[in-house]
Amino acid sequence: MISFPLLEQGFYIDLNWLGQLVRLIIDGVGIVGVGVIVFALILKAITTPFDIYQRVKMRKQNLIMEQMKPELEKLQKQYANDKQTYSMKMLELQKKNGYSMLGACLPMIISLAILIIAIWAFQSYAQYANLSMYERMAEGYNSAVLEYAVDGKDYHFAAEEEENGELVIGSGKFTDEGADGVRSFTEDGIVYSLIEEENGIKRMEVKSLSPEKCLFYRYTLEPENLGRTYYIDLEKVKQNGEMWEAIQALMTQEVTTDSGTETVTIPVDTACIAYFQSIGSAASANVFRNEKNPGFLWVKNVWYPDVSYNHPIQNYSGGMGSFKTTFNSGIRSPKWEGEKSIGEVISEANYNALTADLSAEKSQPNGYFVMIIISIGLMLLSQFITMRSSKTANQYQTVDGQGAASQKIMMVIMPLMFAVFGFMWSAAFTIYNIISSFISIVVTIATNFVIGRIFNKKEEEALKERYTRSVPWKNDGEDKKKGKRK
Amino acid sequence: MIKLGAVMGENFRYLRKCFCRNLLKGGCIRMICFYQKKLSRHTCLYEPTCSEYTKRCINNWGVPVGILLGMWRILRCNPFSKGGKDPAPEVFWKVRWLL
Repeated sequence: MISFPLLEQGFYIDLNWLGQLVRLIIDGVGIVGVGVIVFALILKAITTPFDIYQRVKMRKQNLIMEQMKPELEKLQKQYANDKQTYSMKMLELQKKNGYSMLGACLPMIISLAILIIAIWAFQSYAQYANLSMYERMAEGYNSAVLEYAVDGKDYHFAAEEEENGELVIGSGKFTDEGADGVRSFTEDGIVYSLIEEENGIKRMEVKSLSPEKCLFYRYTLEPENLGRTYYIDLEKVKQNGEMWEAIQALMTQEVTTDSGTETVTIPVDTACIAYFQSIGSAASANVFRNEKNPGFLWVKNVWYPDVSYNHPIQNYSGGMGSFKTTFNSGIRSPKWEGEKSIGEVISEANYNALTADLSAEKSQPNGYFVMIIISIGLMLLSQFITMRSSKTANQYQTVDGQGAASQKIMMVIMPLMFAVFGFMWSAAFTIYNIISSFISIVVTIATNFVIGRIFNKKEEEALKERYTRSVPWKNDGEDKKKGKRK
Repeated sequence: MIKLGAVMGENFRYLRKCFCRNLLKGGCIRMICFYQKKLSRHTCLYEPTCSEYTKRCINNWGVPVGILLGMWRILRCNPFSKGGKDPAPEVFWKVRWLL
């Protein structure tokens, strides 16, 4: 009797509503990376109007401050030790020029809140994605192996069903005793037979008559501990020529030792199990590589960071161990009801069997730091552009020019923060960062261009007005010219 | 031997009132001061600024109520509002009125 272990299935994780939104988008788009980009664009669509408002205000303020530069310098010298008077005088000066350039606080806070929402959504969905990837792979593994198994019925044993010393289960009746004293009946080419094991537990054995189905199962009849255990039917395997040859090839392995190569014979049981495990792991590798590939561009698994020391498929301690510690409460399964975590349920041997064909992915680097470097570079660039476009305003906002210093601090802190996030969290979040800083750069440059043009026009008009006022007869002439043109 | 748990159980309320609460309040105000000094852009529609308003509210009303008041102020400080003077509310029975 060779028992064959199947993988545990049926885990699920509670997704919050944001994670569900991400799942909806990614499932709708199909490709994981593009789904992440779409989600980032949706988040940016919420913040962009506020962003534009803020940048327009900042740019305008900067241009006006540049105009008033000499007066402001005088004021700064005059009130070097009095912050409040300086800011009051500055406001008066701004009012004299006809602008009140105070920005609102809400846009700044909203961009921060959206960032936190993005972090939250990606973190919760990354956990879900890693678990569902395991689920899909286990499903592929089990279904590939179970192609060789019987699809029989399960029955429950109950005392009422035992009539006149005959166990009646469903339509079948275990009446006729065979030559070896085993009660059995046949239905649709499947043999159901009643077996009492050594420890007194009654089980039902379900075997198929067809030669291809070389996996049969035993089912516990007591309702307390239900469950199937699958076994490999060695006689049927021997009848199947190709399979038996493959297993025999597995049985004799060459092992290289210090003294040379030796041929080692492995027992039939282990070779059989290894053969069926190889079928399952090929199916699970197919699921990871083709059906549900979580890669995007050069990153193999978007839900892990884009670093070379992380691998797209983690080893047992990394993959299942993370489930063991962080989401004991979040993950639930219909069988265990939160009593056991997923890491305790799945053994290391089973996990290794699942990922046997993915050994390349286990040692491969997940990424090459490129995405993190791009995100930091874009962030630096956007901060630099912001700093340049509001340099004068920051300098003359307060007496001691604290505004410019705070901009410099932001320019250091923001990229540093995002670098840490990039190394710690998923590559999906890094993709979001790249998209968001790219859009903010575009918005900044566009608003600067437009505001600069409008401002220049206004300045020109003001100059013209002053000119025409000082030389009144010029005005008439111009009007006449215009009239002629009309 | 004096059991730590027994001592803590007796004095927990006192400790919380005299030590933890002040520490929390001070910490919050210190954080806001740090923001004002190092990170702020010094622009707000209202007078005093949102951060100053939150600081004063925390000082007057305590940490939870102060943070709620500050959040309400930040929500009011949006592009569609007019702005103007908006001093932090005082606690009526804590202020020493001259008249």
